[in-house]
Amino acid sequence: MAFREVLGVYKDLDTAVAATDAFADAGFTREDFDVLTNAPYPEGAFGEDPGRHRLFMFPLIGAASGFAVGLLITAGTQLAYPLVTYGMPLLSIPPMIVIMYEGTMLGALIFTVLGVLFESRLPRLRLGVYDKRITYGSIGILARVPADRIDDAEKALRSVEHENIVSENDNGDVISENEYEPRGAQA
Amino acid sequence: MSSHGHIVPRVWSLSPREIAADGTRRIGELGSLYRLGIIVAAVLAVVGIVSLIAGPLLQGYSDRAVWTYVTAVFFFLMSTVAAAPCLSVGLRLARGHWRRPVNRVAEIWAAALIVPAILFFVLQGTHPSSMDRSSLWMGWPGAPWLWSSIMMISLVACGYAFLYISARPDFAILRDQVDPNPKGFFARMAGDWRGTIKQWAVHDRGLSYIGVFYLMLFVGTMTVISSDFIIGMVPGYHSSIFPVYWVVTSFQAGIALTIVTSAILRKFGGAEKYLELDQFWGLSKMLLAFGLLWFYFWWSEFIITWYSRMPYEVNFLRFFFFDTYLWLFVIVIGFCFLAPLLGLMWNFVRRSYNGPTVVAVLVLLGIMADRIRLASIGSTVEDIYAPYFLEVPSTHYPGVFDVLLTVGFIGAAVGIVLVAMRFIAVPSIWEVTSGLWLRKMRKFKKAEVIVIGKPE
Repeated sequence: MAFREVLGVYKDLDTAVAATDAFADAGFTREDFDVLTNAPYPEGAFGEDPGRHRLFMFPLIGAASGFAVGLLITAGTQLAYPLVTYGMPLLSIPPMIVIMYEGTMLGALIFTVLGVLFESRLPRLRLGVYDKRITYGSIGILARVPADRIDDAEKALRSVEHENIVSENDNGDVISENEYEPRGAQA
Repeated sequence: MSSHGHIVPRVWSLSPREIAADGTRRIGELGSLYRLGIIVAAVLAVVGIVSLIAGPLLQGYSDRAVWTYVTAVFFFLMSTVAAAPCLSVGLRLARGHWRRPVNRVAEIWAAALIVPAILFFVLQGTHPSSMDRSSLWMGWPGAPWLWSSIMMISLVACGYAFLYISARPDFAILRDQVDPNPKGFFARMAGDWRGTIKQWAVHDRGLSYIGVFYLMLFVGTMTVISSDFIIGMVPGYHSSIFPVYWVVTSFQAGIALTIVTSAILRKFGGAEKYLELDQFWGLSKMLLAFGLLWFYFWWSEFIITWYSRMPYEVNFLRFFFFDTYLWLFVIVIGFCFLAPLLGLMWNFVRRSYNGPTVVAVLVLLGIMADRIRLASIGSTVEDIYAPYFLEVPSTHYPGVFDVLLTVGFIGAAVGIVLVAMRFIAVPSIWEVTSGLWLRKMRKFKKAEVIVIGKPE
């Protein structure tokens, strides 16, 4: 099923929440919209679907991989070239711990950075349906609904006092109702 | 001010639009003083590089004492520039509200991590192999060069990743409001950031994870540095407390650097609405606590050596504290312990702008003296393979190149942070904004109190 997006931009929290209520009254669920803001709001403030992700898996996998590599380098080399010195144990554990710690941290770090990029679905080539007012403090309610219901979604978003409505046409072109002039450095 | 004495910061009465407008204005309106600062820092950086080449590099690695002040400035930058982001990590994990404007002030110093990293690699030539000597590495192949380098590279990469992830929402604000060029710097750095629920959730978790990794890497790297550069270079010096002293005093310096940076930004950076008494008060309490910890860890190490008093331990005491570097040690104990204790024990000093700032400057001077003392100790022992420390070296005094390169590399670090402030909003726009709707003033009978929301 083809999906299309329409964005309503609202001046403050009250009108944005009113828009999500109107959206729900029109028969949509909380999985059908997203909220765009310039700062994080308390979870559930808009009655939105919580942003589920699996980022926690990445550092775990990275740390385990890094630890394994560290163990392979340290224990592997000592076992591959066994030199018994003064009858001491073959594996010299204290210096092994330092190197395994390095491997663990490095693996966790690399995988976490990759995880942040992957879970954010990066890189994307274009912003899509978007309005620059959002980073200036406005709140965007982004509806993503089946194409045959896009008019209902737009009508619901329009039913509340709004600053702008941004939509996309059949060709995928983004159409903004009110163009926005960036505030610039002198804002 | 409310009746029970708490200061109500003005920032919490601003709207999200006012904070965004103020943040973009601060990026765009860096004035003549800023340009002067950049020029001075650039000149100092050039002086530092020339002094490094003309001094230690031309003399080579045969005499480690020549590298004493390169080591000292490396120590100082690791204890300040690299430690400051740890404060941001700690405050984020504590989830307090007063810290919101402070976080970016602390983590912006991660931008300058490249300076101690370069010095670290230059200093690798001063290290002999860890074979046949007392060392953390116990003769491990490639040690200390390879393994300590991996640690350092990891720390620097983690620091830059932490700063970038933290600043990404602000890059998006600047992309949309300041520079509309789709191929411009802000657009490239922000990427497709739209501020969706999921992006914020991933951002929050990612920042926490990377921050914790930075903290863990910092502790590990500083432990390795203290071992490679100091403990391993003094025969018979087997201290398990010293690395902790080294890390804790670095945290103290990181807090002091953040206070001084905050004071400068208040005075000259247009951040007076954000960095108010609430922030200075909170930071000064931490500085006092770490001043007391300074004494605790120093005393814990000192008393054992003093009590056991073997001949080589008496030499340690003479070398470290009471003879060779007596005056440096007096400065250290005065500025790192007595100044925070005697100054910040008074609430009216803690709850002011000038009190914590003056003490923080003294702490930074004390840490500089401490790092010079410790670098001199680590660099001037001639026979590092001896079983015991039987011969106390004489005091190592700095030459002209030593002074110039010390000032020069500190200037280089400051210059990089100044350049970073041209592109990264300090304080953070998104982080201050996100605190707005969680904090309100309310009447409580005849008093006015702050009501803080805790959604987590």
